[in-house]
Amino acid sequence: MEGRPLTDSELIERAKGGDLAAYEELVRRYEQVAFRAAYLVCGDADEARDAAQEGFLRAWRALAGFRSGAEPRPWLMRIVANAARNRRRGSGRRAHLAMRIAQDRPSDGAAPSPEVAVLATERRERLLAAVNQLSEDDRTVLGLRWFADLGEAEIAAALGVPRGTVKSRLSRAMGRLRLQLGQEEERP
Amino acid sequence: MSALPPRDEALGLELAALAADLAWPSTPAIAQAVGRELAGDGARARGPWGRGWRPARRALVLGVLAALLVIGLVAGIGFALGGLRIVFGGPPPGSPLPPELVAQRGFGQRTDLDAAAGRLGGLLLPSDPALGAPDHVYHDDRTGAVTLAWGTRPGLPADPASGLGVVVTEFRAQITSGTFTKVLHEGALLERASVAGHPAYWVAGGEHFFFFQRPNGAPLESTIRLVGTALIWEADGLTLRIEGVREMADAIRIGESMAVRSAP
Repeated sequence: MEGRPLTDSELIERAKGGDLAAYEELVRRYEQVAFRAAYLVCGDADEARDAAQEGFLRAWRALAGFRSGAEPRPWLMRIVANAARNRRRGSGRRAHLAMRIAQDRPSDGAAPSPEVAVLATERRERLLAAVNQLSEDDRTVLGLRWFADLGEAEIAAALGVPRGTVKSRLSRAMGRLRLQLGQEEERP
Repeated sequence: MSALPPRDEALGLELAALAADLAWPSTPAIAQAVGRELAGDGARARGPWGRGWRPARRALVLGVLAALLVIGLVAGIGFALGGLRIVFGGPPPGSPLPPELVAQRGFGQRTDLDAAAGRLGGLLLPSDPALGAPDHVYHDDRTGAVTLAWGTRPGLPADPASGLGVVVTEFRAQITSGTFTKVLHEGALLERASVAGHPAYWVAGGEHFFFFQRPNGAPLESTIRLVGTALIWEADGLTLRIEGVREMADAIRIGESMAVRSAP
């Protein structure tokens, strides 16, 4: 094993050669983003865990078809997102997912003044409240884009819609969020 | 990722920053579970290429391969059996496209030429002999667009991944030229052209989004997700788009061969 961490491409190549440890390492790198994306799609942590696991297992079986040199993340995310979408469709229901701010969120290093900290907290809470006021579809598309950091193509795969639809849905959801924030801010 | 309007960009950055503060459920040890599952499945020994197959499975696969080989040899020369000639090739024209591809491309529902012409109030159909009748006809209720698709034709190969060759899309809308060039991704080329005297655009390279306007002024978004080219123009109240033709001259030839098929 080299002294430096292997790149994703190197891990993929090793995995294609049957190196399970390399594949595990690759999954470890993406398990969080995959799980969170699946959570936003399924609305349930257990379903999300199963979907992510199922997606990574499918990806292993499909490794032979993975084009060498390509970025593995979009490919992996597409497979996991498909698994999540199928699970959501299969269960025929969707838990109402309302995100909230963690009480013990990590410090970002520099200690802000108490006033700045209070303002930042208020702004975050107002922003999240506005997100939670949106429709399920708007929350999902915004969550996948900004909370799970998925690209348009990955969101398209997650939702099973064309990429152009993602683009327009995102734009409309952002508009409604701005509107919601305006209303929130107008309230006394 | 495409550029967002500045106000969306700023709000997006705020949302992205908020992600770190959210109370996400803790991420399970998925890598470990996947590793365990694969190791338990004997995957470590086999690998994704399937080395170390069990003898029974290997025998089955070899049997299937042998059968395919025989079939392939027979196909190469054609095979007469009780008057039935078996010829191997792609799916026969008219076979449904894979549902995943149809959903991905937003083709809508399968239909036929008469129904498509009825829905559009008249359809333009290429009369270019190189194409012949389309193999697939779809109509999307959402956008009102009709899609005609051909598989491989002489000189017009299909994309091996999708099996789609030339794709013609028609709908009642106007190209909004104001936004037309703004949504071309970097690296895409836009060239003005002409199809039977109608102004046209030839787009090549990369992925592009086009925005159209319905006759009532409402915007209609259409995504072209091509790794190739598109010729777009308006004629007879329709906006038409040809994809999958490598050369602009060939696309124009097909476009100029289009003749009206009236609604039944």
